[in-house]
Amino acid sequence: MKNINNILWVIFYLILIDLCINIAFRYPQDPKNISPTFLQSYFDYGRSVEGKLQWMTRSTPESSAPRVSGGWLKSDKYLSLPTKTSEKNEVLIALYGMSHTQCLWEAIPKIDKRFLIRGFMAAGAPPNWSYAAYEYDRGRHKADVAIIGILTDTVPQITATTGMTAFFDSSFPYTFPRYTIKDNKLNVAYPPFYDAKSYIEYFYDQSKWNEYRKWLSEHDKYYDAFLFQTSLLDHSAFFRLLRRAHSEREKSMHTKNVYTNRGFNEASEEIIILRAIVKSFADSARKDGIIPIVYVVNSKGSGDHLYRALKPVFEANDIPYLSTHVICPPDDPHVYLAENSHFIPSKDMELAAEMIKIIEREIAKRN
Amino acid sequence: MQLNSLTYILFFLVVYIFYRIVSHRFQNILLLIASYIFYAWWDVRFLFLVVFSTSLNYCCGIIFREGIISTRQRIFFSVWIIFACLFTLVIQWHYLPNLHEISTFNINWLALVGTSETWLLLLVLSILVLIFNLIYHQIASLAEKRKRDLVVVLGVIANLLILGFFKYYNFFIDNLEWLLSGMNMNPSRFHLNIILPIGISFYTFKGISYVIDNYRGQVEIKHSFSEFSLFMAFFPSILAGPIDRASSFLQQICGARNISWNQSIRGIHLFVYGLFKKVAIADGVVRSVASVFDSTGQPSWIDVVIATVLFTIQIYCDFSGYTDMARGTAKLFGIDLMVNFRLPYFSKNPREFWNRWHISLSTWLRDYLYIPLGGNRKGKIETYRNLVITMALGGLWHGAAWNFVLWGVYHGFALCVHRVFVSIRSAAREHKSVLYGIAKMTACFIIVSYGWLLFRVSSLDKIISLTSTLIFDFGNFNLGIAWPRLAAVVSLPLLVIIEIVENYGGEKPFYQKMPVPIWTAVYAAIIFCIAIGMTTESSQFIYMVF
Repeated sequence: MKNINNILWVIFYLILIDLCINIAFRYPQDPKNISPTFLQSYFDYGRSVEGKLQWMTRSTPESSAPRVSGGWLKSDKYLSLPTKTSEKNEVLIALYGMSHTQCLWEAIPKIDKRFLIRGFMAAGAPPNWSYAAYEYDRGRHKADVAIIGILTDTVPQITATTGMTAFFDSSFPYTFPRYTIKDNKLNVAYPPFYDAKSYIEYFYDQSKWNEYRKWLSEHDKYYDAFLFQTSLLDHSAFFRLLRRAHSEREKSMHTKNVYTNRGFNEASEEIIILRAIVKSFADSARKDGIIPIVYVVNSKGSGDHLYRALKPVFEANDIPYLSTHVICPPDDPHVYLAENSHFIPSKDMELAAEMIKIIEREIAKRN
Repeated sequence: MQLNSLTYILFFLVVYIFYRIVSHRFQNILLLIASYIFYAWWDVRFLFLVVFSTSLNYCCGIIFREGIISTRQRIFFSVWIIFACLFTLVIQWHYLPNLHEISTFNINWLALVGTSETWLLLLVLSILVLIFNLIYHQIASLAEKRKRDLVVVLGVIANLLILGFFKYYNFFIDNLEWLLSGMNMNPSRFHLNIILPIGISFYTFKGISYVIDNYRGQVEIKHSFSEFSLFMAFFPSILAGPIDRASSFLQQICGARNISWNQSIRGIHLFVYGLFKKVAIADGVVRSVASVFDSTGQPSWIDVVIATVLFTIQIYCDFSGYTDMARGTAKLFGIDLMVNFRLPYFSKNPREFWNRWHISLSTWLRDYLYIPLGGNRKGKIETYRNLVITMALGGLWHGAAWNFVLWGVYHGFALCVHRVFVSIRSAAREHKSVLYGIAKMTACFIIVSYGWLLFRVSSLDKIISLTSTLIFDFGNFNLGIAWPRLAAVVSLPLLVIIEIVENYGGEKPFYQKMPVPIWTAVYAAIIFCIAIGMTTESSQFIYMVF
């Protein structure tokens, strides 16, 4: 009896803590509020993907949270981007990738205004997003140079198809194709929607959404029904923590098959696809008369593993590249911002200067 | 299978259910089988080492206790070792067919039954067993005293050879290469790709203590081979201790166990508390520590100070967390493992620290190294020498690298300096004030923390660089260290409160010292912190690789 009493006390306190956290760190209900506190975000990370989507999605992209509109391959915001140069000495760069390429986008014109940038960006974009963006944008511009950004951390997500599954903590609804290798050729499976409007249409139509869930379960390695589908557990801070723990475990199992602290597993499907994507990017860009460059962003603490994984493709196909590990040693915490994995601004400027050198060298070679 | 994994908890539950069902006679067999499965989970090949080491040490024990190994026993051990080799080394378990292959009869039998190398290994082992049987008669015919002396020496050497080969061979070759650099010799060609079997230092030391204790006549309890095998391989403690003594362990498993409710509660408490230390705190500071000590950049003074303190906390929570979980698991089986930690960071001097930190190792080193070297019986200089030798070898036990030796020597000197200090200080001048006690505790914490810097950083250049940062970059507050995880930030104050409560007011655990509404609140907070900790990536237990 005494022990049951003790257990009941513990349960009582667990419920009390749960309630206190839900009250004290309640996630803002307004989807336009993009600056929740650290603890509000922390205790909400474990909400199911659909739970997060319910919070951020409204009837139109404009009334939804900003992240609903971000990262889509098909978006009106790209219409305002430059498609060609107007001056003879100008150089148009088409840039595709994650936030690190956004930093490069901002840094290059600061050094030399001759460079115009046509940039497609998505938060945490995996390499298949960058490649799909490049493919989608083909024929819509007359760029001299095309750059795709690849980040060490997002290579394992090359087998995901959406920011909803690839990044559980802060799901993004944007989608991208799934590439596979069949008979040494790059095959592609397209998700059913590519823009924010179609996503909202799917999300509010239960049968279409079920169809999409089915598509995800067939094509997306990161899809997990427990993480994805909403349930009553979303209301408990304790169970949200447990769900996040499960997501971390799943993520680390995915990553472990692709990447360990000794480097990338060259036999993994992800690296085979990555290499095929890089080669295909270089081949098609050259076919279009564009200089292909790969921007290799080595994440904090990952050494030059990404560079080493891609080096054979670069050498075999003579692909120009800029690997960040020389200018920003991945094992030096001082080259990264404390709050995220971005480089400090001075390092971004150095990287931009180095990228300009590579572009000028390649243009000179071409001429 | 890590002790903080879901797999381990499921594994434990299955074993525990069967354990409670079967009779005492089968409980030990069940635990032994579970222990072998647990160890083989990591790498089945190295299970052979455990079996071989167990057989070797048990045979030594028989000679000490009974004078001879009977023919029946020799046949049994010969067959057992050859069978173990066949089962663990020759059979290639990774080629085990899956269900599909079995249903389609598509089984690669040839791959499963091993390679020419593994069969050759079996042949060599069989020859060695035969040679042992042949020379046994020569040993058995020696006079009793000579026989015992010879067997104890051979037993200890055999254990050290196993440990030395797997742990120190390449270290030896590397240093030989460095010594011979400049001469036209190339010892690096003798370099071997050796995988370090996990837990080898722990079970080898258990084996050595068993041989010596038997030699000294300190293992009085009658025990069977399976009981001794369980002592050597008991799954909660095989990977990282505690290094239990045979007499205390066998005493418990040779009789029927009565698992009381209180013991089970204590076991669950230890397991949960260990999990809390590991998952919420140790894993929560890993990346902060790594961001400074594994950095190629130049950290600032404050970075080094914070990283050193965080590693001091990490190693304690990691290792004592493991020990608590091991002891908790064992308690649920009705077995008491040795206490390995007694709140070491409350120590007021290095000597007290070693009475509270990794107690099973420090007492092992005291009993089997320091005292046989002469201890403190042969004068001051010899005592200091013995202290430094013991601690240096204790450091080397942790790993085949010079930084561990340096760490050991550093502690050896700290113990000597403390001894000198105590001998010249008059007892009457001892301050008893609380503030003086806190100052001593702080000083001891700083000494120990710097030792952990030596322990954590493997390169000597880096040690010099970080030490000079500590001295010459004093006051540089340019913060570059990665932030610890939320779990660690929330849990650390809780840990400090619990440890203070545990430290003062007797030996009882904190839940027996507080009123129910308070300790249950603490427990709920612990469970919540574990849930927060589970959301961060898990790291391997530090001591598992020693």
